[in-house]
Amino acid sequence: MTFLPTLAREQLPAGDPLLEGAWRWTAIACLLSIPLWNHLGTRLGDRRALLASYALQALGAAAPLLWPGATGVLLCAVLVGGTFVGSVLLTQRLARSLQPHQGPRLSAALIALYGGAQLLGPWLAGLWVAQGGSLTQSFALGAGALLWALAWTWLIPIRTPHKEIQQCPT
Amino acid sequence: MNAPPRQILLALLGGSAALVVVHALGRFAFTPLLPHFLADGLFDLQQASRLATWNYVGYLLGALLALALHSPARLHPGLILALLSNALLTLAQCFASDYALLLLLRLANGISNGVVFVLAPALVLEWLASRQRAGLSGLVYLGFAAGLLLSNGLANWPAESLAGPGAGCRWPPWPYRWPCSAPGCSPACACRRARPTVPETARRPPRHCSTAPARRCFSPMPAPVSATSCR
Repeated sequence: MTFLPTLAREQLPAGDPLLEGAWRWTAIACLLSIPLWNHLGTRLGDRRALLASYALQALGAAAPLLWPGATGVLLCAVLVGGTFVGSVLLTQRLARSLQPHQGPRLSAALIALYGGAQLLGPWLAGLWVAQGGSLTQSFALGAGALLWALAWTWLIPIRTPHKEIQQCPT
Repeated sequence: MNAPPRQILLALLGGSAALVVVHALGRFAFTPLLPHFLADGLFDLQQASRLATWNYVGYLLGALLALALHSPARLHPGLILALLSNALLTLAQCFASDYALLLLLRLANGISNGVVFVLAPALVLEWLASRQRAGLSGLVYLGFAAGLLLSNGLANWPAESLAGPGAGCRWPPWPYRWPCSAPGCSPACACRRARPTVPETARRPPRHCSTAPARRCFSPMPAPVSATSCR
């Protein structure tokens, strides 16, 4: 996402409204998606909702490669923007439902992992560009990582839809 | 235990406001500004990538630091201190005239961001869970999303008028004041107000919200690397 507006400049002609609008679409999708994922997690279960969010996010990351140009950029903006916070909130809640006594600690560990994985993105993109690759091609790395996350989420034991868990003092 | 809707709203607003400050403005505002900085020639894509990487490293370190701050005695002061630090660091970026200094500021900004991004939603989630309302916890991220919209607008609306040789100063329109001076802008504060019990901290004596960071400035982004003066 860091390089989405820059990607738009690489793929779109001057004057295209998406040059400035891509990030706006990302933000709008993000805003609208949060109540949606919050609701889907409660209704379907956090695990299933998380699987859906990863699948859509992977499609969004791959969109600039699959459909270069305005379609790919817009799909990337909407699908990634509309899922990435959902992934965070669903993961946090899912983890807490598996280990109710470890809420804040689990959140910290998960965000640290998330941060570590996010760290790899710009670093790898920078390496790729330094080697003469294009920014668009580097989006394949993001799509691959999301498919990897999807596979691991699939292995989480199936649980009943979201249940409220009483706070337990640690 | 149940909580009145007003208390729940206050807790969610508090968490949301913290995420607007540290993540939407402190971190993600870099994204819509990046093409403008590149077009202005303030730095190249590799330098931009390095700035993003250092911020991510800080974010990772901050999340790890939050692991050590999860205990009741450390959570509230750690959250407030990190929030205040992030505000000051974001502001300081506007005045950085050296690329190396900017890298350090982005690193420190990322650290404080990581701490708040972990502790604020976690605190709200625990508080909601103790009231059988964990299903609402995701809404704490609404402020973050609204902040993305805000950062996009503030980066692009004045973009044309700030382009050109003086483009290093394209960030001066940013020193808006984030209206967080109202009580409740800190999730720690909000959750205290939303008592009677705050998970893990319920045994602490109540404190007044005046200890929370009272206001928030934002100016989003990496300062111009080569700018020497601002118009």
